[in-house]
Amino acid sequence: MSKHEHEHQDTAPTPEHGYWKSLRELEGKASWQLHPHTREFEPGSDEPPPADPMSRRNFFHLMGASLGMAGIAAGAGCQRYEAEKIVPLARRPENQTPGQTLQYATTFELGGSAHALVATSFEGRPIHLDGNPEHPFAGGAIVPGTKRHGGASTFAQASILNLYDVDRSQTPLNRGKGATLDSFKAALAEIKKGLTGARILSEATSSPTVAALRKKLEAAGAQWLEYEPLSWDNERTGTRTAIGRTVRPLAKLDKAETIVCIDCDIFVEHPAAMRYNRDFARSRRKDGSLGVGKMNRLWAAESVFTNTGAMADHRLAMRAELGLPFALALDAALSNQPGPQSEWLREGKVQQFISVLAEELKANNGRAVVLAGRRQPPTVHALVAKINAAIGAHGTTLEYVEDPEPNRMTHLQAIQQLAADMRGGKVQTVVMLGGNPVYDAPADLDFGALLSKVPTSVHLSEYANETSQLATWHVPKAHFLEAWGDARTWDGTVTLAQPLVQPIYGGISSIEFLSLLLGDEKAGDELVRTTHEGKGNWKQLLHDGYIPNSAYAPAQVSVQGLSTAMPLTPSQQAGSKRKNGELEVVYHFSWASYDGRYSNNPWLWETPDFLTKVTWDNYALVAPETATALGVKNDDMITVKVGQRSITLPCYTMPGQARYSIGLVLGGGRTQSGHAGAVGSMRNGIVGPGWNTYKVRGSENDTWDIATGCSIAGGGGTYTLANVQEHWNYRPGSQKLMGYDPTETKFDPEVDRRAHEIVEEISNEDLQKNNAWKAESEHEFWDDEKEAEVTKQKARHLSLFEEHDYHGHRWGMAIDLSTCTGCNSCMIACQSENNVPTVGRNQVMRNREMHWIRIDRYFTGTVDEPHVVHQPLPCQQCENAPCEQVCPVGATSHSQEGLNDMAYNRCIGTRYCANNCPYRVRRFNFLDWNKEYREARMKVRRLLFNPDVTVRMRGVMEKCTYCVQRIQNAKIRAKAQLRNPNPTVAPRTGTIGGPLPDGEIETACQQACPTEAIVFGDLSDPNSRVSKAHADRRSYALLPELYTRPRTQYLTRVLNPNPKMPQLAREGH
Amino acid sequence: MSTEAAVVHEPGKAREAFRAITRDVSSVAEAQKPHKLWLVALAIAVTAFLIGVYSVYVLVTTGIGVWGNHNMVDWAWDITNFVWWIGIGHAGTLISAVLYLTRQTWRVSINRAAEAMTIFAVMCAGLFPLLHTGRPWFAWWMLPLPNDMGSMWPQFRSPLMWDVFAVSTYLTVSILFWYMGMVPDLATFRDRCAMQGKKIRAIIYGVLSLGWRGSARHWHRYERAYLILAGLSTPLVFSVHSVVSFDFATSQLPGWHTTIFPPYFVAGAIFSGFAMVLTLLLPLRFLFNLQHIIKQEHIGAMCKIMLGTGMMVGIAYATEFFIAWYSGNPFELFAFRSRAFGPFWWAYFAMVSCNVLVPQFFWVKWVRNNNILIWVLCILINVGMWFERFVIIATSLARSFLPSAWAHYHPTRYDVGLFVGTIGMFVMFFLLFFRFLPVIAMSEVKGASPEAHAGGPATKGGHH
Repeated sequence: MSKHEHEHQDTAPTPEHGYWKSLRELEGKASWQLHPHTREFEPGSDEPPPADPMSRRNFFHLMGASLGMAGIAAGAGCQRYEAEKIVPLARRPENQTPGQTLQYATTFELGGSAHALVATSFEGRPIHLDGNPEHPFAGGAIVPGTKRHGGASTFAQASILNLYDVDRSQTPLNRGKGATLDSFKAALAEIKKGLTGARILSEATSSPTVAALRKKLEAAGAQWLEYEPLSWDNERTGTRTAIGRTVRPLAKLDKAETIVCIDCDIFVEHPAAMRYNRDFARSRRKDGSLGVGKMNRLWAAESVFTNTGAMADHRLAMRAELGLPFALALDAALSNQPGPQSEWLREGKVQQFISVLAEELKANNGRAVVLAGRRQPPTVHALVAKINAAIGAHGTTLEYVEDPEPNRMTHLQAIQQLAADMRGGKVQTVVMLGGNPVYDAPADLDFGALLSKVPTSVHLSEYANETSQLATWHVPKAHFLEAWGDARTWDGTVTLAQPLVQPIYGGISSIEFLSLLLGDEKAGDELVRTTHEGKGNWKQLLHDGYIPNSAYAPAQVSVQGLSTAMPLTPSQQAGSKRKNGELEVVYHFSWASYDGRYSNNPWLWETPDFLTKVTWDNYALVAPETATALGVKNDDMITVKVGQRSITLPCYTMPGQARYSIGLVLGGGRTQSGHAGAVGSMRNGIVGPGWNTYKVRGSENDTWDIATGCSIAGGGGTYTLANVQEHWNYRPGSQKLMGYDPTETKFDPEVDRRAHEIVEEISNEDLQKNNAWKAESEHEFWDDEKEAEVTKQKARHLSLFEEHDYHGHRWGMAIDLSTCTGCNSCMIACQSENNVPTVGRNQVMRNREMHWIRIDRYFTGTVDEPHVVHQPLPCQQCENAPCEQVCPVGATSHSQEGLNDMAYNRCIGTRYCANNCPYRVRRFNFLDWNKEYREARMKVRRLLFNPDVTVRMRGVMEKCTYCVQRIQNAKIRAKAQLRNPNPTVAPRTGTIGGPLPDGEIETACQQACPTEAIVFGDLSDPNSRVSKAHADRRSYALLPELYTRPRTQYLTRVLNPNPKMPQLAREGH
Repeated sequence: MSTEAAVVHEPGKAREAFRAITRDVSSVAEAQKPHKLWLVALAIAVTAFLIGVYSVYVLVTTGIGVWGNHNMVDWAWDITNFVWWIGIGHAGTLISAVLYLTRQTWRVSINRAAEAMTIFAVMCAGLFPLLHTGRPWFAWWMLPLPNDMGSMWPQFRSPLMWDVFAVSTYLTVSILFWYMGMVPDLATFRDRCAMQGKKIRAIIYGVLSLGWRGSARHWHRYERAYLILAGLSTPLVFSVHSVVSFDFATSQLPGWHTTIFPPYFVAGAIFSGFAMVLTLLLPLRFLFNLQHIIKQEHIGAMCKIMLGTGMMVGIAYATEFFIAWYSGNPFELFAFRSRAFGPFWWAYFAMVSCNVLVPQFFWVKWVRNNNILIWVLCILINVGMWFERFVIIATSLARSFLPSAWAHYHPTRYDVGLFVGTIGMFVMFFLLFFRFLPVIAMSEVKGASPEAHAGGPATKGGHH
């Protein structure tokens, strides 16, 4: 690296360098030259400060100061320094251009399923994660012929925040006390001796390298067990029952015209969710088009209201335990057999739902698929396999692939067996790879107490969590961006992980740890490379991030002899009306902390759940009707009693939640979490947000996923959940639901009225029948030039203002409401790209969350059977922007390309712009949200900041910029490459570079969106995707009557209801 | 001028009457020890002022986040207080300029105090636009100051810019008007102090009185200048609050975007200004025995003005509702519906009852003669006018276009602290003014008194 230069001379009467600032200096009499013997600076200030290993800033600080000193020192009588010379690097580090980012393919694994990613690195530090568009399973194009597109889940994207999390474990622990890696290695000799009979409890993993190491360990006598609290093993077991072989079902949603989800969230919770999002979008817009086309139809029967339910054309709210009668009845209806005896199945709505669905499935033979969710028991999955065979899904819309470990115990069996062995004193050594069983193992096992009794236990983990505290040894695990690794996506494609940084806190990866355990002590890259020896050019494989054609082999299967004589429990035979004490409890993953592992991730906690819009907490979901019947209210602290265990947590009354089914969201109340929960004085110390619902999640009698015979009781006081949209608006000023019949109670009529205009919807049938139909676009209201063309009259310019004249690029965005599944990926992407701060629970309750793009959701219909509409809302980048007019200092102004630019340095913070924004997308820095990053311990977090985006100080306004930094970078690149100007667009004077090819610039939200619902581009190019989208008849502008002329337009949501089902009572459609 | 004429006709009686006026007004400032109640009031006011100082300290060092404002309701107490104080500041100019030009002689007993009140109120008002900015240390960027920072220049399309000019012009003219009117009286103070041997005071008043000797030429120039300033500031009475109302009227928001705002705001401003004048003067009049100068008929006249302006405000409320319905704009209609029946219904109720119902009492002569009752009613009117601004600003923002942005608003202790602080500052300045400056325009009162006119009692409406 460059070195400092310190020239030195004796006190010189005249400036040696030939320049002087004053006559006195020339004469050698400048005041600072008069006292050569007094110290010029404070003691200590001219000595190097104590080394701060993480501060790049300190380095520049010193360098700048030293250079400055070098100049001054020429004449001053300050201390002598050794002569040093500044030398430039003789050669630029390979692939590094200062100021340019680099992209590396990598991967991360969640619950045994890999997410193929591309990490963006700026000068050696990873700053952003995206999906890998080139990956055969994770990437692809929705519209044939367009660029391949990635898309990444919220968890995948937000996991980069954990890399810089100061609460990550930094040293090994020995019985809860700090130790060193060397002392652990010394202790390892003992541990290795006990390897025979040792238990290795791992998180679910699909890594081939881990599998190879595992074989060696098993050969050495260790027993390998895998546990995951959110397990898809029911699907595995059930499918095996039906098929006779362990295979994994893999739906081909892009080929399906009817998709049925039984308590299954295909958009967020499913391990293949990102792929399913894309495939769903493909068959939702058959030709990838914007206009009319054949659409798929989504049916959902579920207990907890999920994204899938919100997207569904028909949704049936049912208790999760009724999945079995539902599947039996559907199977019976398909084979024209009498269905099972259940009062619920005789209810009118249910009957109609199943009969119309069965009819449609028959009609769509070979073009339909049924999926069941994680929670559903193996019997339901077996029935689903049978139904899929009956509707001709095999080989067309559904594929089975070979399971790599057909003989593995289920996750639940594994943890139960381990606990039994530990209880029986059979376990001397247990090694835990990741995971947090003390927190998330079934409550009846009392895993913590058992673990404390095991003589030797080792826990490798990114965080020193609850399990680490009770283990004899804890070893810090490297973050996936710090380590070599591999994993398989849900279809089995081997995806490679490469490190982007040295482990910041010195952790080691699972494979390195296993290698250490085996006594090899091999480096991670060697291990991974050995596993994939001979699979191709290693550099190419790393570059692409995956090994081609490595997916699991397709399995030829058939369903034979599955008996449908499955007995129903009394509550499955009962109707939908239940009593307290007969309730069901289902355990639901957390949108924020997943199973609890992201408990210290403020990005995820502050991103509101898609449907509840709650942040920073978990809760019990209760249907409004049930809440009324059982005498509890929203935000009440309720006690949920499951068997002998009970927990008190806040109640969230959720429209559309199945009646008498309580949804307990997992992942809260971690006791050894980190300081994120303390943001906004949520909790003190290292207690994570929310409540620990695992406390009531036992495994006795198959109650692990669905527990029955539960009860709830209020009276625990109230607790306000931090909701980013006012709770679902009943009526203005009224929080009372008591006394209303929930099947009749409508939402606030004003919200209902507006939601229809704000989020436009039309049925596919209407769209196809009515060729003249066109969404209300701004033109109908205002563009009289169009009107003049038709009426052959001169255009009257309605605006009093001179309108903007655009030459060159006109950036615009289109958001397709038909395919937005509400997965929140865009929100995290924006947060990461634009250095959007988090504010904490208390400030969220004061409506001060900072997201530049939010997802609005509105309920219509009845409280019991609501219909949800939603809308991602970034800045609309109006051409007649109301914000620009009112800023007294011109801090927000119109760019020549039509962006509403925001000059943070110019803003004085009057907030007038925000008041005048009809879309309310402007966000004000009410406090210094980045204050904590100035603390020494939090400095490392600053390395995550995107250097292209200003970190805003308090007192300034901010908002979505259409990722202006990406636009500018692309323009600069275009200029650097001297692209030929696109002949279709007249180049604008002063434009740097020429017009850019469509798709060259992707905003962060667009890049993260798995369904390509967000399209960004140049409206001055008539062939760009965004131009075509704006020209589509589905396109409309939000609040067009205000004549703001937004550059962001929405594409009307097209629903595809079955004509035989009751239609949504919506005016005008 | 006219004083001399009076001397000619009834020298003894007139001189005695004028002396009494001089003595009574000066005694307020000349008393050796201040009145005990004055001290108590000052102590309370200073305490309140210090609360405000602390609130400002916390605000500036921590950020706007100490207030209750948030991303959906970006303006709340800050701008409410600004508009309220500006409104209060309206009575001064109205009394000084408009009533002067329309020859309402009864104004002379209260114009000085009303002008002082205007200045203090505008000072309080000015604090809010300054402090409500996220970075108040850069608030000077709103001024068109030549600078070396490139393209930095105010954006004149913004109504906030217009506010800057309207309010600063108003403050400047008000100070000029107030001070210039005070010059002859300051000279009286100077002379009296010199006679009583209070040298330091005499020097201070001497400097402030700008060498006034009371010559005919001085009086001539003085009267001319007064007339010109009155002429200049008359439009200001109507322009300042019109401009302030443009902040809202020119915006998009339902509930703000209405053309009725300028006259509605001006009427409201005069309404609240007179209420505040009486709120302050009634106790002080009692405290310093000025009943014979600030006469009951003057108070009655002010009550009548409040009755009139209160009804104008009432008509404005009704018109807003009518237009909301008549326009057929559902957003507009909902904004007004939610004002009256939404979550802030109590604020709307407070506003209507205080501003429309309360002034109706002034129809009754008995009420106009009952000073305690008047004082209570005036306080209520001030409360009502505060709520009017709060209702317009906060409830409209809380129910904007997209229901996803609907939110509630709660003030914090710092919102309250700053408001209390400005009230403290206002009262503190006013008390100090009472103690050290001529609270009543002696020369003008003399000119308007019956003795100043040939042939005895003054001709009605006659002045100078």
